[in-house]
Amino acid sequence: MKTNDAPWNKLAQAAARAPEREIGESPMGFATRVIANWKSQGTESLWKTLDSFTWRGLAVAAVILAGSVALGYDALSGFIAGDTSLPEDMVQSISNLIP
Amino acid sequence: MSSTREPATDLSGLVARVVAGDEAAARDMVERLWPQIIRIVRRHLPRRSSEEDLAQEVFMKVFARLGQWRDEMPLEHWVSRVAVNTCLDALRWDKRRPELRWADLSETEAEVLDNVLHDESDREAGDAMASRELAHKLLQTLKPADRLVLTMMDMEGRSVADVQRATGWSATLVKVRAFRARRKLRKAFEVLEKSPGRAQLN
Repeated sequence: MKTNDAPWNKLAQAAARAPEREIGESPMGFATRVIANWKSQGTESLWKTLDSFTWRGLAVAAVILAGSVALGYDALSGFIAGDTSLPEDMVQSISNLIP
Repeated sequence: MSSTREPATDLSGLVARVVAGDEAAARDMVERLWPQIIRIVRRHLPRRSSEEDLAQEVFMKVFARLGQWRDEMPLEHWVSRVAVNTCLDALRWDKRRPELRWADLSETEAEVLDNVLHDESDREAGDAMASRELAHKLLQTLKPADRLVLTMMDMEGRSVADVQRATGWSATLVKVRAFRARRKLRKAFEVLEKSPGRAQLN
């Protein structure tokens, strides 16, 4: 067997001589299918955009909530333990809200 | 939505109408690009894939990205790049690349192979259709990018610059891939020659 690229070159040259299958017009209904999918893809992408915005909004809200809890941890834990620097009447009015 | 029926002569105008959502223009565009896209799809079609499904995928990508096309680049080149990259993605999905053995070949393919391996003369390899089938079977044993580069350069006779334009790869990358792919093919020929079916024939 030869050790160079000769077998492949010879094969590729012979393969290139093979006639190509005839290319006529697109199959019946092909353009209609493409256009229908193209149009539905537009609607789908709008929903996808809205969907991704919703998830991003939820993620941002979760980060803000976690940040608020972290920053106000002392006040919150003191309030739960009854040891709070909040004014007495404010504590009272919040307590009244809880049944 | 407009649905004008006059023939689209101006390509940029046609593209603008498609981008604006004109269905008649989109239909014109499909008919205009069909021969170019189906030719590319047929050359790079993965095993067990439908050429019509893959062509449809290419058209979906063309329509989705048509707004990005600028007329500094001919539309045919831009479409060709989208089509080639879609085919490459499809080839990457087909993970299985079975090793080719003599027993997998038809009688005419085996004759062609025998001819290219052992006939030192400049005689033609043999039946062109069988040669193409055999070449495709050998190319299927390669990685998708290697297969693509050899299909374009060796089967279609395209230049490095053509492959660069169609894939977006650098010239060095195209040359390195072609070199490695040919080396792998040499090994594939060796494996074929040593495979059991061949031994039985001798």
